[in-house]
Amino acid sequence: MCTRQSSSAKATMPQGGDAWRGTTVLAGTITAGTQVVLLREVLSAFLGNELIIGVLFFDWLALTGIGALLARRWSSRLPLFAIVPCVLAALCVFPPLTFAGFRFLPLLVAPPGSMLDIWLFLAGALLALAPLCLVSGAIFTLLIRVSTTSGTSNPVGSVYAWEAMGSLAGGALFGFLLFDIIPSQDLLLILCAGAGLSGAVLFSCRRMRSVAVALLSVVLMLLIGRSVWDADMLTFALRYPGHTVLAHRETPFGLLTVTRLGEQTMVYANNVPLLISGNTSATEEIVHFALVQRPHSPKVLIAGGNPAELVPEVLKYTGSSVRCVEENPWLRRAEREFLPFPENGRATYVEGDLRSILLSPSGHYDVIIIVAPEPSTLQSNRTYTREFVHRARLALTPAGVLCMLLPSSAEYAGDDARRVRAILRNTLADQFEHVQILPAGHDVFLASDSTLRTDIAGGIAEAGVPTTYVNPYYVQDDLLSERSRQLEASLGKDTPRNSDARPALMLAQLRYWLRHFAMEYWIPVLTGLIIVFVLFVRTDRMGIGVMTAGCGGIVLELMVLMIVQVSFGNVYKMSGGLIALYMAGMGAGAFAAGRAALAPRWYAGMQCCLALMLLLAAWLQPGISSGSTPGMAGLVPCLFLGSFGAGAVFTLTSRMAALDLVASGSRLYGYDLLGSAVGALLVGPLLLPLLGVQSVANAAAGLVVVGTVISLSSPVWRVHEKA
Amino acid sequence: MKKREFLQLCACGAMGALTHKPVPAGLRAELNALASSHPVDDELWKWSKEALFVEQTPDGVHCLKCPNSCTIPAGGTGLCRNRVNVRGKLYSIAYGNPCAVHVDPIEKKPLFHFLPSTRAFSIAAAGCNLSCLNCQNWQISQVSPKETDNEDLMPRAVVDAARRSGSASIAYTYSEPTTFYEYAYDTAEIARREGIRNVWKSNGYIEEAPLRKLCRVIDAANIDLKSFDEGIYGRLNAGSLAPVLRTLRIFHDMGVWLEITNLVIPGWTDDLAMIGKMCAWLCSNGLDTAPLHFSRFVPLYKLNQLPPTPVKKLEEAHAVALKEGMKYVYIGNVPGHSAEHTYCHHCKKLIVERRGYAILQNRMKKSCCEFCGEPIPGRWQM
Repeated sequence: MCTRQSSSAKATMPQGGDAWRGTTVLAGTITAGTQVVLLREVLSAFLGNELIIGVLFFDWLALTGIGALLARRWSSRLPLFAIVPCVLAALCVFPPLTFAGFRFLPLLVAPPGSMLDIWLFLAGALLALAPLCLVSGAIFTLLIRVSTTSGTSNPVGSVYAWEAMGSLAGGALFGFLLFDIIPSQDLLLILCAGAGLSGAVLFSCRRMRSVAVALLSVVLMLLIGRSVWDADMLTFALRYPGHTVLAHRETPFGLLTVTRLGEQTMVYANNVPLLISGNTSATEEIVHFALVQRPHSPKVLIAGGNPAELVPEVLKYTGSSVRCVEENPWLRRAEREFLPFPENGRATYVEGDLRSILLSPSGHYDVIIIVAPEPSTLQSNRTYTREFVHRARLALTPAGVLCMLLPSSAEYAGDDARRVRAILRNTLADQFEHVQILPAGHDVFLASDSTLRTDIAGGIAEAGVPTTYVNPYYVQDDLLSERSRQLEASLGKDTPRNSDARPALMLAQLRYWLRHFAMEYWIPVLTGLIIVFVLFVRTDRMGIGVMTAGCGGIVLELMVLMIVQVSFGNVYKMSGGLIALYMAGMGAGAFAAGRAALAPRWYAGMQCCLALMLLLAAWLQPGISSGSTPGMAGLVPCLFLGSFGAGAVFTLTSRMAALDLVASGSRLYGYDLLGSAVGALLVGPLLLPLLGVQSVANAAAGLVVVGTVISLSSPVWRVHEKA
Repeated sequence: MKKREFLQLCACGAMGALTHKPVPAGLRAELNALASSHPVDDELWKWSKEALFVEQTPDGVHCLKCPNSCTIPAGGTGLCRNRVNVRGKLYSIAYGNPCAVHVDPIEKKPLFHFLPSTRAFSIAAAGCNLSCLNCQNWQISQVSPKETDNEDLMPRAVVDAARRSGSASIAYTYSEPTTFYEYAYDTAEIARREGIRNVWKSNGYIEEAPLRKLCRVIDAANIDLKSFDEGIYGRLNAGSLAPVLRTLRIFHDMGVWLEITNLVIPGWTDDLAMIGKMCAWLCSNGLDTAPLHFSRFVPLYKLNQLPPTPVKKLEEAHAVALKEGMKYVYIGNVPGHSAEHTYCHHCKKLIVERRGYAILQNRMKKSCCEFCGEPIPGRWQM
């Protein structure tokens, strides 16, 4: 209960009491929730790939770190009693604004139906995130200031730990606990409104009634705005002009939208058309280029694509049977409702992860057709790797055919397009004796241990299969063979192979994608390297230790997520659980370090714990990739202990801080986040695909050890021992 | 040692030190690929040829080839990326070095009334004077010839290769032939002398003088009329409509066989009222007998979040065009559609039954409808 106080009492009142703890947890929850929501917006607005996600996290972490650093200079100007309500007000206002920016700015600046230019994205994301993230960083500094007056023994470490707990709650609530119950943007709105109401009450208690009323008005505007305007419908009107929206669903795999335009039904995944009805030429190419190779009673497995149109094409072959696989249950539901195909004895549907399904039974299929998105994310790349191809080969009959697709290279494949094709061709050629690329509406990759034919139209005529497009009238075998020969001849043999541990194809695909914008890959990389350099030059020795631990921590998190995602597919809840585990480890480490003895051996031990867990995660990767359950079980303590180490390092360092706790705490927080930002930018989109898991783990562990050695050489330790 | 090689060596060394392993060849190639940058355009090479249609100005060389009307300072490159100013002279840097060389059915261009069922030896050099969001061949149209892998194929060699391939024509296509005008013109001149026809597949974004000169050697053209709205031309293609309309008129006036392609893009160019106006303009400018191909859009390049054009919309456009008075209207990119066939504009009977690139039935006699005797416009025989 709040009581009326005189204005002179404001200055001397207990500084927020325990309210700072709740506010810190709420701040962590709301920022983590906003991250989840914005990540989905980015995936929708910008065909989220690993590079874009890396840039988004970099922006987020770096801006938050900068916010914390900047707040050192002016945080003392804000009256202590006003800090908590101001923080709550900021948490009410900025997340919805940022959400609106991410939702509507791309629609306003990008031409309808087009990819947002990457330069616009880079600038736009920075601008849209800046207010929220700078304020979020400043909140940390402000809360340290409040906590220093509350009698807490280790204020910096406590704020850090409580914020980690808030992030844990946010990740869990938005990631999987309430996912099926309430849309994440509504949940975010409720939390923001809650923060706003709490802030208004506190302002009112501090006799700042006009501010309280203003904040209440904002809360009301948010709630009324949400009930009057449906953001989704507004988005559809801008994004799909002329379409009838049949269904829309936020799923763990992204946003699924079903629309109708003319006679066509489309299923959009993250606003990219994933399934389109009436796409005769593409459908026939996908099926018949492969089936014409083994036309006699083929047993076929199809992963992805539009079964409603693919299956009837397969069933044109006498005695054929087909099994369709889809891992996204929400997509399956949409197909069942809007693009149904008759399931019967010859056509069946399986819901599950393709890689697991391929494990049994072996030697079963004559043809496996993979219709996957381009390999621009770790998730999509996992169906193009050596390990996947090996499993597919085992699932095929001895003369079976694996068919994979890339978008058409049209009349000419540039350097980057050729590199993508060369990596895939070479990865397939390591497993199969024969590989053939047929450049048509798609670039169709066929692989088999038996010979492959390029006279597709001739094969169709022999098989007597009636078709609309794949026949001698449209497909001229001599021209197709010649184009195939030209493309094959232009592909280099000396490329890395695409594997689970080193997704080289993803890197090549990202580089090819950047060519759409005439942008070079080195630009974001150079940005990261410049920041690393500046940080190392500007940071003191203890700061370097925190920064390398922050970087090591994020590398561990990204590595573990990659290992799990690549091995088990789009296990959304598992990934959410792992992120929650990471935050729990950070929080536990930060709490524990607040009570531990302040000795170099503990500090070094925590750093070494992080380094060892990095190495352990990489060591476990091959086993997990081949489906080992003990390996997966080992990953859980590995992640927890690594993040425990990272959290502990921060708190131990903060306890060494000099007199000005606010300044040193915000400085350390800033370094921690900037180190994490660089790790997020360089590791996911570049170093993992370039060097592979093992080398990245070695490098990150080495970096952590170097940071430890540098920080242990700091005179602060000697001063502290003397004290 | 060049700067790039030095940086690459440093990167390899650093990674080797970090990973305690020698840097494998594949990784070195990967690093090399990441470090690659565009070659400079201010050097002449074997395939540089002094450009036609230029004038000197105090600010540089003024290129008069297309409506972009670039004034290119010394060391600069035109918007098309194909013309460079080297020491005060403008050069085309794509003379005799095409990046794409294929043989295609003539119907793929599409040309339905020009030597049907023959093949076209098709060449392209890098560069384009527009920047369409939906460009199918962006990998060659949005780069310089120095960035593509090219073949050494001088005009004489093109004609010889076309003959060897059994092609009836040479098509200047895929990218924008206006940007490799000198190469195309010289090749077309030789080809024409030797009885091989020349086909110009273009966006029509060209100035009058070079176009009139070109018409002397070109036998057929297919021009992309991308929309009938200046605003859309600006946003979708970074160009303008008026010069394209002028091109259509000139081709028609100069007796070059002309067919027109209109890509119907959902939300951009599928407004039936606009299509109606476009057809009305074509009819009022004597182009009613020019075959008009409504082509189905598929998601490409930067316009990859749109669906393909519904067939129903194409059929509506087809109906509008016929209503406005266009005589020969086709629907493209929809396999097996009945609007692939040619119907006599006079008696409305089916005279050429097509399926893909094949003619299943031809009911014309000496370029006239077998049923009513009406002449069917086109270049039906060599």
